[in-house]
Amino acid sequence: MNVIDCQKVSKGFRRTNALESISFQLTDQKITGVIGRNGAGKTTLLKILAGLTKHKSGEVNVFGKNPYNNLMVSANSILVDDQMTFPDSLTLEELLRSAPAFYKRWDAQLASRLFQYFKLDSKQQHSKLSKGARATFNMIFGLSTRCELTMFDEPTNGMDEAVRTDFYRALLKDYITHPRSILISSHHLAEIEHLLEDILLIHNGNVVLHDSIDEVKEFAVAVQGPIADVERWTAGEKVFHSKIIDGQRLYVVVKNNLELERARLEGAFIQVLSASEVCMYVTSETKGGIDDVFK
Amino acid sequence: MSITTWMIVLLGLLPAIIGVSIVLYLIKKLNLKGKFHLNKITTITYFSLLIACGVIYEIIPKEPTVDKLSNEQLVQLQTENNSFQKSLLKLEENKLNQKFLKEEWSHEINGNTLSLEYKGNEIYSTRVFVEWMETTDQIIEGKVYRSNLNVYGLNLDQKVPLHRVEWTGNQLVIHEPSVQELSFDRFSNRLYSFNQVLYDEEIRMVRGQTYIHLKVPKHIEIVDPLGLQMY
Amino acid sequence: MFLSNSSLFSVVKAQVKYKINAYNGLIYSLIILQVLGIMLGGVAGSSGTSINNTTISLNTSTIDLSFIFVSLLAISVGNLITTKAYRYDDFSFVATRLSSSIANCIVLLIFSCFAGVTTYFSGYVMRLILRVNSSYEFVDSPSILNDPLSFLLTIIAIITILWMFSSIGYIAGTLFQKHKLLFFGAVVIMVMLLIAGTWVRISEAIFVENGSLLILAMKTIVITISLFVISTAISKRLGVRT
Repeated sequence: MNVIDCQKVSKGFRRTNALESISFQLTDQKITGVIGRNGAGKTTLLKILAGLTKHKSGEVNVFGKNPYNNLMVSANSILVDDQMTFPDSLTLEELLRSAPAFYKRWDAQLASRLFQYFKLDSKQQHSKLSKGARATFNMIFGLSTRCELTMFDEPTNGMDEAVRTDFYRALLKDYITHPRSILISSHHLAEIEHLLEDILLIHNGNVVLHDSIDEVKEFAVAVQGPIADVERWTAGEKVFHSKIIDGQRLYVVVKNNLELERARLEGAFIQVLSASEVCMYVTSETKGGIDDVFK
Repeated sequence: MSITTWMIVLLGLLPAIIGVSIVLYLIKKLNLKGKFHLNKITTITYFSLLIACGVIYEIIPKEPTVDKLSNEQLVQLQTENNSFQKSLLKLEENKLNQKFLKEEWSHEINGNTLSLEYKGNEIYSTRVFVEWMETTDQIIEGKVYRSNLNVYGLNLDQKVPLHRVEWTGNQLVIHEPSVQELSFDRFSNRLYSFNQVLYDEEIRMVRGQTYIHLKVPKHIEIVDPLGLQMY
Repeated sequence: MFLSNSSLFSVVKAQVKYKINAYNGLIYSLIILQVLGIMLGGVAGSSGTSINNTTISLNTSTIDLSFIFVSLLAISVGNLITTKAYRYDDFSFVATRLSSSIANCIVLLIFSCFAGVTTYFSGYVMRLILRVNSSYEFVDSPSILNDPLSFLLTIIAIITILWMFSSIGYIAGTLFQKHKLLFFGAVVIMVMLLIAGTWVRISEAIFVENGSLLILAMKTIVITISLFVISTAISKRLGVRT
């Protein structure tokens, strides 16, 4: 059974189309990064998957069920984001204590260990926490639920560098001991690249790429050489990005294909890109860069 | 109304206005997610305190200053009163409820007239019944009755005085009791809001009457300018 | 892949327990309102008559004012828990809109029970004060032991009416959350009914023509449950964390 199966999912808000047509499947237990620019639709997609909002058209299945208003999906999935709220009448400790009644696989030991490690105050109220501490608490909560589908939406917002590193480490360790499907959305791919297995790249409400991290790295390459040569080599190719270096050399990012091997023989300088660079170029709107603004 | 009156009215309303403002403010500021962790203790304490008040009230010895009666009992009293009056009208003395008898006397008059006099405002709070006797003597026998008296479930038989009957020669003077006031405080478990529409219309008062039963020899003439006699 | 299966019942149970813990700050508002009710609500009615030149007056104190205050509280609590802050809390844990609505309905009932019983018993505080403090003769009126049936019926009626008020607040809040226009539309319809007098006739049929408190309680329960069902149907499409 697919963990997630989306077919042409769309969702619009009043004027904008947050999701245009999202189709993808998540088959086995993997850590998948949901990557995209600001406003690409990551948050909307995750909310639909968590059953918090209803999609407009298309078909969404999580564990084979429409997640909207489905108890089974709700019991087996969690979305951790900075909009998570908890009542103030309960302390953090009491919140953690009321969780097992909802989540059958709640790991109390993990929760209390992480809680102590991150030095959270058990008598504190959720809304009184600093942004970083709140994000940390939400993360602890999300990890401890051991939900089959655990989703993090920009989990490290507000966390400091040390906590971020610790968080990724904790996530990875817990994933290894208890494999499950984890979705992490972020616009800092570089930061999470090392723990991802798959990448789901969303742009303008559409899935641009859904592949393993290695495939994504090979999806596009940078070609550099004299302007005329580069233009010849990449003629007819989809150019994601191009810029002129030193006034005579052209730097373009194109979809990787076999024909570029010929170019390499002709003396082209072909550069492998990191996954985050690929994602950045693939989703860039303009051919030029920020430099063009200042010309 | 003068300004002073308005001031007094306003002053009187002040606590109510303040109270209502506090209520509205509280409701507006309402936050269920209070930050106190004493909530549970408070809840339990408050609840036990109230229940304790209930228990204390129920168990403390209460001297029943005035008897309280249930609705059925009141209906019963009213029926007794009605049948008493009916029997008295028919002058069936043997059927009269003897517990209503308050006084009994006989009086000898001179001459052939007997006049009835009433001193007071509420003339019809007494009823005089005359039974003619086949006799030639001058003796008038009288009996004073009062039927059940119960106001708002309070038995005030002892507290509300009887009419006083006095002879001055051939004149029978009925004195109304002097003015007095009785005030009571009561707490009702029945809500007024429900009372208006829900509870059965209960008999709230059994107004007892003073009855004077006279046995008068046939040849005596009764002068009754106020019309105290009942037929 | 291991999927845990939660039944609606177990989730609702967990939510109810959690909400009762989370919302118990309500107790302070309740205490203050009941104390105010006792302090302000001295004499609810007084009657007087005169027999044989004796003026008899009887002042009756009841807990009506507390009851009215707590009813207002019930409306606003019902309304409050439909607001975003409270709705979103549910979805940090396992919840569907259905389970959330059922849990709210049950929580409001439990709160109504607590509020109803405490309101009733706050009358005993009043009684004790009156007994000690009364400037006139204090007359004992039938108490629980004398008239247990009336006691039970009154408490049941108080509870169901408080529950109904909370459901009115709840449906108003749900309408407002769904769409502000919907809420104002409902208010306009209500006002029009009020002007047309239909409202008076409807409420008369419901609340006045009752043989006993039990029938009233039954009717109230039916109304309350219908209001909750309608609210649940409306809230089916309310988004979370949007």
